[in-house]
Amino acid sequence: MKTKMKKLFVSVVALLLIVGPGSSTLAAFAEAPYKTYTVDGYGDVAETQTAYLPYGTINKIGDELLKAPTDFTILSDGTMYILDSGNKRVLISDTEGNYYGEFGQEYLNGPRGMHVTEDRICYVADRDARTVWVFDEKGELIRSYGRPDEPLYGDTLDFLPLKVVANESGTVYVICEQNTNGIVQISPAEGGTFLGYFGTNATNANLWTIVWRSLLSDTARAKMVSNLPATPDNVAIDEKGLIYTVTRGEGEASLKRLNIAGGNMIEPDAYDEVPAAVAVGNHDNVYVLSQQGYIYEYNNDGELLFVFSGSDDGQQRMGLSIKAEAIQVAKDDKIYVLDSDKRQVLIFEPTEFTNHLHRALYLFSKGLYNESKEPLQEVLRMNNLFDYANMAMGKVLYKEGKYDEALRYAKLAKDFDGYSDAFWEIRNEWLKQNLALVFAGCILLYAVIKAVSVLDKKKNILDPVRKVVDGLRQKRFIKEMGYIFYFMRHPIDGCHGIRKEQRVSVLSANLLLGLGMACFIINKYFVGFLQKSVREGRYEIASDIGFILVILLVVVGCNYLMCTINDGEGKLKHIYCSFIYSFGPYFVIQPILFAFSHVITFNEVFFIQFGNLCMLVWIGVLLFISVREINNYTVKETVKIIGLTLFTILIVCLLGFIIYVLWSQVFDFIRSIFGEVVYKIGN
Amino acid sequence: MATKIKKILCVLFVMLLGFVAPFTHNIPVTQAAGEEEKKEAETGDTGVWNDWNETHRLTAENDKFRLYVNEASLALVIEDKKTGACMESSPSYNDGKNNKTWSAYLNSALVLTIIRGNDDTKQADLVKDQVNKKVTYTKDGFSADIYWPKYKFGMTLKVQLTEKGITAYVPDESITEDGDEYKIGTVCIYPCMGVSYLDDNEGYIFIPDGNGALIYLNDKEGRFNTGFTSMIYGEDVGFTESSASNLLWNRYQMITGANQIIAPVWGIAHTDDKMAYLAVVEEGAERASIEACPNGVTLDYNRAYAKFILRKLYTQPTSNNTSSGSFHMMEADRSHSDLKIQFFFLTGEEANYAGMANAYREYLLDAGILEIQGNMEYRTRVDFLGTEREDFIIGTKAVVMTTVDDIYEIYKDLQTAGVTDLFTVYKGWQKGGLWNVPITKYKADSKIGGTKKLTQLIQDAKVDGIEFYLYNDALRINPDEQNATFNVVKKVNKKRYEEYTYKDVYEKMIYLTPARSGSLLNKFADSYLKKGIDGVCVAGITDTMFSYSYGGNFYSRYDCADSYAKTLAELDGKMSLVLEQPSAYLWSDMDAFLDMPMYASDFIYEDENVPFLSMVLKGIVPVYSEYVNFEANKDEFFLKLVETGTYPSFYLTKESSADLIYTNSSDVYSSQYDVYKNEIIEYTEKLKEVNQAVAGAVITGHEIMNNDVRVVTYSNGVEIFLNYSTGEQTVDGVRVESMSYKVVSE
Repeated sequence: MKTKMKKLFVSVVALLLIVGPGSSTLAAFAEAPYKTYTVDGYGDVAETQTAYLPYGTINKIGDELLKAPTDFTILSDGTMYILDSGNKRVLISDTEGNYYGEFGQEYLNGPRGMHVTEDRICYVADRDARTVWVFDEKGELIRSYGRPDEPLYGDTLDFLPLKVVANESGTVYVICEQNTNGIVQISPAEGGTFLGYFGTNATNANLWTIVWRSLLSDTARAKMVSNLPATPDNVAIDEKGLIYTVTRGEGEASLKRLNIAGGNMIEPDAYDEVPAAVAVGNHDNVYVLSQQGYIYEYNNDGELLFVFSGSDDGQQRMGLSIKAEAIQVAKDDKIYVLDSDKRQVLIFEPTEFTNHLHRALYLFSKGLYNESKEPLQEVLRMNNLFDYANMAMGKVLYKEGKYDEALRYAKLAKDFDGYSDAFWEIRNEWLKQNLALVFAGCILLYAVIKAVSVLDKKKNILDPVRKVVDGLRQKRFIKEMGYIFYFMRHPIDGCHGIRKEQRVSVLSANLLLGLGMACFIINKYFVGFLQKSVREGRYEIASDIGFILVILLVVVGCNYLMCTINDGEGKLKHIYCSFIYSFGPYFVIQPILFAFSHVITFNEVFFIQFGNLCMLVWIGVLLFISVREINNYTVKETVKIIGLTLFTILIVCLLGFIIYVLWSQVFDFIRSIFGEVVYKIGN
Repeated sequence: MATKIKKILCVLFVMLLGFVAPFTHNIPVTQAAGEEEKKEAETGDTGVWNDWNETHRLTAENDKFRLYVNEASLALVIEDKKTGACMESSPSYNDGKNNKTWSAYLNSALVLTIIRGNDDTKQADLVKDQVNKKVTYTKDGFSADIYWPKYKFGMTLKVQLTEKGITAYVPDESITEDGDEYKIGTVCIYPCMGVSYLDDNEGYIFIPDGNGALIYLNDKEGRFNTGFTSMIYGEDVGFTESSASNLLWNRYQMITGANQIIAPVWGIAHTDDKMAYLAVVEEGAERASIEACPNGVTLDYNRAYAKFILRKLYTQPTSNNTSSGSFHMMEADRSHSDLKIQFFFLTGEEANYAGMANAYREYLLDAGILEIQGNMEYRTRVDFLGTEREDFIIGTKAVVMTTVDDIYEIYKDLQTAGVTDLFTVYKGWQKGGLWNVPITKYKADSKIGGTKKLTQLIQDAKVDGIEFYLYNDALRINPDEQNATFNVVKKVNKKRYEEYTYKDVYEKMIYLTPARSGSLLNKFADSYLKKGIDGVCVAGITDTMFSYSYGGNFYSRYDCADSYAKTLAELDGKMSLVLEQPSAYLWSDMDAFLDMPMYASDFIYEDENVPFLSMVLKGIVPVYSEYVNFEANKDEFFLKLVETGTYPSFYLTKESSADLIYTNSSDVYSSQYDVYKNEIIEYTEKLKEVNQAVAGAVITGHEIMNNDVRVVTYSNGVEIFLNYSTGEQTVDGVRVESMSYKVVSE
């Protein structure tokens, strides 16, 4: 026991020595203080296995403390360069924080960004010195680039470099503060030649601003906030020389992968509003770091694999950032994040789960489908809801000809293209096997019908049936309902029937409305997978019904109001009925489309679209004619009334909104009083 | 006698004057004045603060320790008679950087915060403030009646030297508050017990975060500005404000909560002096927090203590709209409980965290809080999920995951593979699925096979030697399924407490009052016992404690804890009870501990994870881990199971977990039995062997080597070597491969 104590003592001392003064702290823990999410096929967010665990932190490089560091680079051999901006120097270390050296003190003034190439040429973007410094592997200054003299650069523009990258040939790409033209591209030829701007962001002018600006006078337009493209926030370069940029507030364009021509080749399906940095991984993956500390990992196509980590709200737990500045990925897939507020480098280590995924990702993107199956299975074994893996698995199985399985995975992943392809194959297979049978069935059916009609002609065997049908047709109620088919084909006469002949009643219109709503709901939730716009297993029936009723009420009401003050002859009842009956085509065409949606693939989707278009046009025409006929208007008057109705609807919506706001204030006031009374009584 | 005391008092008073005078001279008066004063303070005296040989007097002595006290501040020194090593409750070295308030904090036996109006930050103590104090010495310590005339409150501090250490005790009835202006907010008793300056002492602070964690006593170089602070037995939801937490895309909760404190303990070890203590909060733990500050957190001294909360400010909103008014209120009455801390001093070879675990185990066994359970043999825990609900056209529809027949099948399959030692908690068995809570009677969902079939299964399982428990969350009520108008918890501000699930089907849960939880649980138990079944797994109330108001009355956390303890004690009398992550005050009622955390919470100031709770409980009660399913690093987790002697747990379903995506269990992303079958068999084979080698033994030693090897020593002489490193390692001639372990019997 005594020796044991000694051992413990020795080990504790040794540990103290390891973490003691003079070196950085590195410790492995294994419970993440954050959740990891992924995005599913609907764009919804789902929790998943912890993708990366906090591995450690580097607080000091040797004995050197960091002060407001803003950028860093990790080379493939594990050498780390940190731009220690507050101390105006570049520190060199390994990925455990051991001090290797430093340089740059005599030149750097207010550096903000840095890039080190694999041959250890270090580029520093120095905002306050208005210079990009270039140091060699010994830390000696070899070049510097100031403001380009070329007129193309822009006469009035300053040169305030914030971030920089360089490719193998030494061309530097500089992001400059206030420079909205794009990334400044400078070639090393002749001591620095300005090559032009690169990867300019688009301005986002929506319809409203365009209309608004066109209405304003020149002076007023000049006073408006100028609509300039956003300057990128950070930039990265991959082994192939492709440039990645991140820009805040640009939505899907917040992450870009630019080809040589400056065209974007990636579109993230989920993004952050305030990205701070971007890095390229080892498996055709991309990492984006947000200023708040969220880390996003995307695959080659911009599909989000993981988002994790986050901001430290004072809990002081490892793996959370306060102000994240830069991100780097080492060759062993560890992620390094530089935090200027915490003055440290956070290290994240991929879990076993993520390692499997990376392997699959790599093999899959290289087209080695069969080989990627095993890691994919491993991923799905650990999380069989992981969307990317389901999608990839579906594709792999499709390639193997296992279409049923492929279909299942594609459906799980909401991979519509994959589903469509697999379904096409399955349908094809089915048709091949059953075509003869189907034809035989058709012929048989035809023969039976023929035979029955012949027999009917001779011996009237269908008389009893006919009698029943006729009997039903005579029922007033059925008759009223059936009028919809007549109305569809003869809207002018149909309206006359509604107005003058009482061919329909409010009851029948209500019933049709109910039927229509049922039809709408069934179609919405049970339509074929490829046509479905709502997510599986999600039902909002009450709001659907409410939505339809409110719209109907507002449209009919507003239309009626406008008609009465514009000499319309229609009564409210007639307007209501004619509106409902105008939806006849919906009752006829929608069920056919619904049935059809279950057997089509994306190849035949045109039929559905065409069917929808026909239906909508038909309904539109019927509505137009109804308004005209019921009120006995001319075409011109009808157009006017429709315009007025739309305007009234707008006003009603505004009114509703104002009333809502006012009443919510009143309710809140009452609630406050109630709360206070309850409190006083309670005491 | 009286004259003697007078004489002593006189001498002490003179000494006190001599002691305080230089301070008042050198050290600035207020804390608020900031930088300038700090500078002034820095120029003040540094060096020996109080040579305790001069300022302290010997008050008590036994075979092992001597207890010295400074009568002015009531600061203590404990001396180990064998080695002469000491531990102090106030630092003897003055770094000259502390203002008057902080100096007083470092030296005083009692440090209080005072509430005055909306301000709850002011400090009261025995050094800075003028106090009326009457110290009575007893044969094993002293008792001091203390009164702050300015604030008009007082209390009695009793300190007693025992064979194992000292007991510090403030009786509830001694706490008096006579004035209306000043009220007591919090009380810390000996907040600097075991204090050390920067890296003057080698060793560590042990904190009860997760399974246990250490903060080394090295120079932190000012890297941390907050230390560990956490309520014992979890946060008080009765006081939580709806705070705007940082959400991803304004919607998704990203940060997971830290582990909550399961056992009310902490400790400090000075490994160079071979002296350590373990502190156990014996009374008042229900409303106290444990705080641990490494150097650099305001002061350059390492310290750890318990902070008892007597009264708190809270926000009383006058509207549901957050932008509308609210005002700060003080609790009407303080909470009532004795405040008592046991300091167990450990010396020699026991002066480390393993010694602390041994001392705590011994304490729990002596106090009767823990009993050695008879049924301790190794089992693999396979939990099943019966049914869940997902939204449907109108209302919800069942998602059936594992039926009774499925469980029969899985059992059979596992038994064929040689896995016979099983332990099952069946979740979502009740009518209406997992979230139809609370459960009031024994009625199984017809979708899983109905009550009759389930009863049959439980009886058959018993015959096969399988332990079978039905899951019952006794805390929550689902307002979408049951009427949650009455008997639910309201916060101190009389607003109903709502727990957000951040899920789709049921968006929030509400807490039942402890009385209601108790009566429902009893009702349920009776209908259960009628069928001759006696295994129940209780969750929810086992790891939650809150203040609440109900029916115009205010109830404290003490009331809540009393109620839960009573309920479970009653239940324990008639059935077999397993508890989900139970707080220490409920340990007497558990037959097994479920969901033991394996790690700490990754606070940046933590230097090492230690399996403290596992060391306390291994060999006393069966301990089951959290679910293996959701571990991203399976190899490491497996080693953790071996290291801690914890039995593995799996959460299983017959159907694919993809079916759960639209339910409230959407975070169960992997659970299908077919996927886990091989893993269960493998885990069982290996872990059964390890646990059989140490059957009936407790963990007596635990060491962390500097090459990522850990050695666990059991009371039967068995040693387990675990290698967490990436390469092969040899320790004591035992070679262990990377990410592997070796069991060595003597």
